[in-house]
Amino acid sequence: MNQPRRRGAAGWTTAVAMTVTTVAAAGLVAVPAAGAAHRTHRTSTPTIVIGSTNFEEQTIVANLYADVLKHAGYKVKVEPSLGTRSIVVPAIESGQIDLEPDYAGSLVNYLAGNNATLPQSKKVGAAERYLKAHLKKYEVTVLPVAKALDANVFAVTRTTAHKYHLTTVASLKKVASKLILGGPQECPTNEGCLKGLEKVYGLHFASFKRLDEAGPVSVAALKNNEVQVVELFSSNGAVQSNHFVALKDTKHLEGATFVIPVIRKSVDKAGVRNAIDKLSKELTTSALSSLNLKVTTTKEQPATVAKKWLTEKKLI
Amino acid sequence: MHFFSQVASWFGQRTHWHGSNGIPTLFVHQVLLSFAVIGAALVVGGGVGLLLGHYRRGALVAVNSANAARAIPTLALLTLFAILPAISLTWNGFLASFLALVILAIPPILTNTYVGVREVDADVRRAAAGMGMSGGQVMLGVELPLALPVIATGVRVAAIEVVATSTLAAYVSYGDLGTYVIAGLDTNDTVEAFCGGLLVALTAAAVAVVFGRLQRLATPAPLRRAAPALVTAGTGKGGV
Amino acid sequence: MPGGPLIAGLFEWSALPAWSTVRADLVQHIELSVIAVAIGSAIALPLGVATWRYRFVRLPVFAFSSALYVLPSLALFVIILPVTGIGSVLTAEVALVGYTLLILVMNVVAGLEAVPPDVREATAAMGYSPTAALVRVDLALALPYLVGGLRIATTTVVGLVTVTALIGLGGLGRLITTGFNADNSSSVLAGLVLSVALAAAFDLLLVGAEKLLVPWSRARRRSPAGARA
Repeated sequence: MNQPRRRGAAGWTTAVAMTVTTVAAAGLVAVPAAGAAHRTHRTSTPTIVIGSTNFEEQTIVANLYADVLKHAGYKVKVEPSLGTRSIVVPAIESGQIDLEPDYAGSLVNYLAGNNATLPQSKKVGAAERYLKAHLKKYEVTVLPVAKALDANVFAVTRTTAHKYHLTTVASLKKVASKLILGGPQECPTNEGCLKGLEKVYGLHFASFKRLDEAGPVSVAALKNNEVQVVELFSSNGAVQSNHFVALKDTKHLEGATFVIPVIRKSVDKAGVRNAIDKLSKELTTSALSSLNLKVTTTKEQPATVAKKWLTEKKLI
Repeated sequence: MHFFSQVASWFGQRTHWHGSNGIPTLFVHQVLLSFAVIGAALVVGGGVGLLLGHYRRGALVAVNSANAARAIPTLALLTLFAILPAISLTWNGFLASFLALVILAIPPILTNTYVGVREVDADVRRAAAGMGMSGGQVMLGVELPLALPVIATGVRVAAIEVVATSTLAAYVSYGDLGTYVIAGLDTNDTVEAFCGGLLVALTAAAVAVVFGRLQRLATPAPLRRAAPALVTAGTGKGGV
Repeated sequence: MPGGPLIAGLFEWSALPAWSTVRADLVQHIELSVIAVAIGSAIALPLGVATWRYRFVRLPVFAFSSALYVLPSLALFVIILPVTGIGSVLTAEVALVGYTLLILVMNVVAGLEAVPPDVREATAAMGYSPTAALVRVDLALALPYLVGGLRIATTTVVGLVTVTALIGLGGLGRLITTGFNADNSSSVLAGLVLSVALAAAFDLLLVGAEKLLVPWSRARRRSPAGARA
């Protein structure tokens, strides 16, 4: 290739100029993008912004909060599916959102960081105290937990439960060696899964099978007897619809992952608190799983499902 | 520095080198899945490309399929197959991942085979026919060997894509090096995710080197270029 | 799970998430893609020009961008995660921009190399300064290649953005992952179809832009990268 070897500042100036132009163009795109994600100013009539992670259940609960608050006369806005907890928690700390449904035990461990499992995450009272203390500096607090618990549970089919008389995780002890455990990719090394089952309960399964993150593959594997024990979420609608038996975790392997309202102090008024409290008392694990079930099996929208349930319960 | 000592201790853990959750086992799984996929894609994509090229048919589809296939998000294919119990439970998640990845791997091989066959000099084809070779003999004895360097490029491109994307298979239950990445992301354990990412990256680099060698072997010495271009027909990553 | 054949009930309109959710995901997908291609171009253009003009940078530039290209995106995401953080747009963009570099730089170089030497001699004889010649002649003639590179980079990036859902970002990948977790294949299919449609729409836009900018190039081969070895 016969290229002219023209050096000098001129060529580079062009290159720099072109870069600047293109970066500026990119900036134009990026600015509205950032604007969409960050609410900076509050209007004079405060709207309560409710955020949730992209976990379907939290979207349902966020809609429940929105409806009861609307009913109580507040202006609300729901920002569903903001992302993972690592997006939603900073969002409430910085005031981009005012209210979010979280899980007490998991939030304790999240705030502790470093993949830790704090003893405070196991008991509701301790978890609430921990959260209040740690969120204080951001002007954020928590309201009392709901009755609903969404913990990782170990589930078996009704047939297996009858056959071996299983009610608790501990009751697996004698038969574990005949059973295959299924769980997510991290299960073998996770204190809340296989590792904990071995250490805390002394269970030794025949083998372990990798499945998805307590999703459809896990449900199908248990249903088709590919595995006999599987890790699921307690409020997963499939537990109900398939008559799976969630084994009781008497030794607190899993944290106290009760649904907990996390709220900015600026909107924590008596009226808001009462509305949410009333809801939290009605929101049981089985209520939550039937809500989840509606979304997954009848494929209704979280907002629709939330409104119907609240109307049935005469909460709105 | 703290982070790197955590990474070092992760690699030092005995459990990460032995048993069903160890690096060797998961590496073998990834290689098995990738080779099965490339083998199948070579048979299907290569076969169709060879026939289309020989009979001069379907130029539009054959030439554009590689570029069009980049737009398909493999994550969607994987989860779609994994949602169907009949597929997701077959061979511990292998089948769902295999099917999704084959769909990703066929287009670059098909396009390159087609282009390679099309580019065979018309005089050579005529000469072969003139010597009394049948259509099939021309295809397999003349066109295929002459197209081999271009086909090898397509295979290399497909292999790089497949190994990269097979990391996602762990999301829908198959156990390979992606297991560490997905497990790390699930538990917010950036150290494990990082280590998994590192292992996947090394595997991908090794595959790129190995298939680069194979491509060189498939290319007659005078045609070899000093630095074979990476971006060729249908290079790209459909899903990963 | 609806009974019957394997594929039955894979898609139902009623099972789709609310349009406001889909729209938010679509918008974020577009944002993530456009930012990646824009920044990628901003880096690739000067880098490509430098690579074409100064031979000694060719090997390091190609080696670096090839390495970025071969790295699986999910691996790259989690490798930079400890620095950039989970759920951060930066994590996604660093990786996505990395993928566009090789495609874009190669096309810039190929486009500039395809400018006939006599054209270059003529511009010099007409008294163009090197800068003017580069912008008005060389880069203008290379436009079909530049657009060709942009097309491949854009299609690739739109497909890749779906994976960012695994590191906590939005975009159409979220329709796929939430759909999977909720056993809702309609949502997964919506993510798939919209992502492909988005790539096609971007491609048509770029083809249209090329026709406006370089009406003389219609008959020409679009890009070396679109062809083969």
